[in-house]
Amino acid sequence: MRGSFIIIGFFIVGCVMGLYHLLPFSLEELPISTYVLYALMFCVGITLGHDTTIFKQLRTLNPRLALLPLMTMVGTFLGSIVAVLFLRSITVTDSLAVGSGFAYYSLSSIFIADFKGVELGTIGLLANVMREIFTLLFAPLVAKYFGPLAAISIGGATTFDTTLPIITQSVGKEYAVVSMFHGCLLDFSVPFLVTLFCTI
Amino acid sequence: MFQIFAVILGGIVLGRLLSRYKLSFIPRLITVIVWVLLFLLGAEVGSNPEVVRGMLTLGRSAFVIFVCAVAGSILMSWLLWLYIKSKTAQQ
Repeated sequence: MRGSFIIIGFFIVGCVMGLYHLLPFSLEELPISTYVLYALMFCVGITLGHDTTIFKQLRTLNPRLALLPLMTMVGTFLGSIVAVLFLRSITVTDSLAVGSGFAYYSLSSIFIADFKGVELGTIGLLANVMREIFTLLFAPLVAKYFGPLAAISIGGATTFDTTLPIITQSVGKEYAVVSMFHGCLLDFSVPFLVTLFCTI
Repeated sequence: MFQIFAVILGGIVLGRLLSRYKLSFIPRLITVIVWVLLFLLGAEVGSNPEVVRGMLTLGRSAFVIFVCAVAGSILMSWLLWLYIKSKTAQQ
């Protein structure tokens, strides 16, 4: 839990520095986060390759785990439909478009803003940023009460990259492959589903 | 997408080659990189005036959708987990 507070602390410090223009560089001109993400992925790759027992564990994995991305989609859609009951100005397809971001906030918010305007785009950004941060903070807790699959499911499309280290730390390296498969599939689905829900 | 794949694959190959050595500093390095990423995400949010201005009203809608979507995901993946556990117990 201490680690989670440190993570949220860094996010808040980043917000404040961005808000008051205290950064020595412009984030729009320099795609720093992309390079940092690559560094993260490289390190995750090293830990996966370094552990020679992973490939043995992979063979013992249950093939039914391949259903997990579908479960994440169905669960997210159901939740997004239920959410409309609590919101006045949001339609079902708007909510589904936001939900279909699956925590992939950068891409989904750009798509949504393009089709539906900045307001829904911002909602998409915020909802999906929240989903990613929630996963970074609470994956261990969700794993404890609802099993390892739930910890992967909440991460949506990010279980392929940014949330992969947290997930493997909280449910074990043997789930790294499931997590990557899950993230990869949802990652691909984001542009299609968001476009679909924005246009129907 | 494919670049990320290539980067992970490169890491896996290097990790395999170095499997004789103890690489205990890597998990710590990963933690630090996650901090940097979250800092950058915060900076991105903070330096976008549209997002900052709409934070309260739009944030409420975003929060409701986020909570429901995550709850739905947890429910469905939990059901799959219970199903898989019952099937493996039978075998």
